[in-house]
Amino acid sequence: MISKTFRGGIHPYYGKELAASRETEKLPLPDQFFVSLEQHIGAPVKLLVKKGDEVKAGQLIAEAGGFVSANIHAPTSGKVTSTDPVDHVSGRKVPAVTIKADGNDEWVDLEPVDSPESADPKTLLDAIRRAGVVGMGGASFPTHVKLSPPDDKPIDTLILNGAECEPYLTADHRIMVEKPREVLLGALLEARILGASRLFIGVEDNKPDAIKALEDEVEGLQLPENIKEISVVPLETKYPQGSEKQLIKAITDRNVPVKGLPMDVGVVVSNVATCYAVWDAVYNGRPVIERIVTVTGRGVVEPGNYWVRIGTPVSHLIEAAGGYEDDAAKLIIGGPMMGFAQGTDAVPTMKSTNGVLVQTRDEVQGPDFAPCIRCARCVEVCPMNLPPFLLAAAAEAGRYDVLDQDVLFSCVECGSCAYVCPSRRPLVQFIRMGKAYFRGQKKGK
Amino acid sequence: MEILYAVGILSGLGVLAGALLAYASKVFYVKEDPRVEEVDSILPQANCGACGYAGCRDFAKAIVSGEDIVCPVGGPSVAELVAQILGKEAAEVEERVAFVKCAGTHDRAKKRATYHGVKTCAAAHLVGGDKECRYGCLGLGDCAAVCPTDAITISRGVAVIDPEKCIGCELCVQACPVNVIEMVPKSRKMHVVCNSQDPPQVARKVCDVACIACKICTRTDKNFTMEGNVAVFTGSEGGLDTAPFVCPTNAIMDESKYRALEFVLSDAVREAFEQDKAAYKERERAERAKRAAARKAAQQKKAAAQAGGEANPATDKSAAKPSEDGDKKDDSKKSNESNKIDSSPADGDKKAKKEDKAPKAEDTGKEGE
Repeated sequence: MISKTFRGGIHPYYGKELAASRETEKLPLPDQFFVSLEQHIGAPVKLLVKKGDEVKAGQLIAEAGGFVSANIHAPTSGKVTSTDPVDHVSGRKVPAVTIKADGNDEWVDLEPVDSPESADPKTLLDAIRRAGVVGMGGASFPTHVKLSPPDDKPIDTLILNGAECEPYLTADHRIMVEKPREVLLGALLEARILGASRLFIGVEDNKPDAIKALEDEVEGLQLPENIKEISVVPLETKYPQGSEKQLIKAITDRNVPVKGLPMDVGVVVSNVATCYAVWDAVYNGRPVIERIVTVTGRGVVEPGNYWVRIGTPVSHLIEAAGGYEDDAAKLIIGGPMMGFAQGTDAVPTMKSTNGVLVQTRDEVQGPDFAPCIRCARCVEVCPMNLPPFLLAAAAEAGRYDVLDQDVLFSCVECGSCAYVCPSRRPLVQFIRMGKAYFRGQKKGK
Repeated sequence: MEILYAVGILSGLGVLAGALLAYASKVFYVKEDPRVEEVDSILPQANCGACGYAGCRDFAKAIVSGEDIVCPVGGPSVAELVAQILGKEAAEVEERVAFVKCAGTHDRAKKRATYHGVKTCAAAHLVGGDKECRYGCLGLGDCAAVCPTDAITISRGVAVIDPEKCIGCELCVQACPVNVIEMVPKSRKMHVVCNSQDPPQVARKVCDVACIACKICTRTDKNFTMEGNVAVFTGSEGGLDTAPFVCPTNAIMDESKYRALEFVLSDAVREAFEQDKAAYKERERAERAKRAAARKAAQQKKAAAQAGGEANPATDKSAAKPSEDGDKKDDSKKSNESNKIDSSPADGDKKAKKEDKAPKAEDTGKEGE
């Protein structure tokens, strides 16, 4: 078995053994939910409930504020106690709906799509839009938008992203092992909407059980007419294999142009958890109010995977995982490479929250860094073929004038450069400073 | 002998080149307005670029060529001199300095997390900084780094600008990612040291010296207005001496009494301010008690006049007394009472009404005599 891959990348400690074999458990419902109203990229939502309202699980509480936007639903039944801002993963406080659960978990009546195998794409898209499905891999781009490419960009290939290259996280791994059929059915729906004839499922070769589960399922699958080719593609275990552009390069050998999107080369990439959500939305009519979250790291007593309702406070998750170890030092939402360090565990989970990582004191680096020694290791590992040391040096010195914006914005912020830097320079943070500068300039500051 | 050839040729070349250069300097002479030199010599030579030109000489060229600009650093004195040279009328120039609208030092502003990233405000701002308040100074010194005159001190998590050293170049205003630095007239001595647009109940929780939008200052002093959830002083100078004392969170600073550096950073100065404030409150209380006493006396007199038909000499006396020699005793007694009533941070409306009533009571008292 030859595993495909891309140029560059790193081999960090993966830490997947902590939670990979743990079967996903249902997390008991907390008393209070904080449903953030900023859970996707695009237009802000319109709030539909007010303080004192009674809501049921699956009830629409905030409506998409435009085409590029996504609905938000109540995670359980209960009473809306506040609509004040609460903590957000980004560190800001953003508007949210606080729901006090009544413990009954009553659902609204769900409206699944009739005979989804033959329903027309428009009906399917509408079901996905109503369910508020967004990219569950982390970017939270509304899925119904991704699945409606313009007419002049025909899509021939759909790639399922099951690489899960982010160290420690095992949420996607578990969904592939436990729900392979649902994931594939969701993918077939997406392929039909897009009119794609080829379907690839990219999985890193450190997850043989997931590859096997998917392959078994593919064999037993009744393929619709439009699918000409379907296969599970083992990928080399290397970070950032799950990055969209790298995945496309590895599987189809196509290069997404600078400032371009995968649809420019006829490809759409969809996360396996997103496919599951699509399946759930179409076959069951269930909105996205639940997802798998990995609680892991050496800082928690018992790492594991949980089905978590959106809006559950992270502290509740940690509690379920046996609480913090004594030397727990850093709480990260997401993985160690691209996650966000948190100042409080009161932050709620969101649709894009795939993991909660707690690192111990020994694992956390201090803030000190040294000057660049021009070793060019960052250039070697950069999956986008950029010179990170130059970009960072320019941003550090405030010389934004020498930065080429096309190059700067090509950076996917994967963190490979900062990982290999012998001077421990926070290269990604410098690059993000540069990006923030140009974004601010566009806004006119 | 041969050496003479060499000397001859070289001297010849020298003379020729000299003549050429002399000729060129006449033919290709660029006429420069002599006023540029004059104006340039007046300018502060800070070469800070605040005017929008590369340096002071470029500014001089531009202004001589007729551009309608002013040197923000030089202020009115420079504008006056430049106007004299150019034979124009000097435009009104207001000298301005930068001011940091935050006094949330580490001990006063609540911390949200420990920030371990790159030690610049621009980087810290990406993750929201380490303070609960997201409008406050990040305290990592991007402003101090660009300040050409070292006017900015960073201590205990806030930047403080020395108005004496500030030349008003606005470089710090551009460098600040949270926009907590504002240009204010140099003559302005009263400032609200808070930038928080958080709703009052949030602001109160996250910082001890936050403006909590109680609006007391706007009612006591017309120079204060509300901009969203924060009060701002809008006058160019002046302001009541007592304005800082009415603020329940000490978010108003009077620079004519305290240097910004000390007011924000020194605990001793803060204590002195607290003492002044307490003294002011004490005085206020005494005054209010006095007015209350006068009013009470007037009311008594009125009641007595109504009851007895004709004026009763006994009640008349008691009514007149407090305004003469009984002041001190009365105050000390009454201050205890008013203490209870007024201990809540004076509702401005009530106070205003009292002030309206008090003089009337005194008037009627006098008439009675």
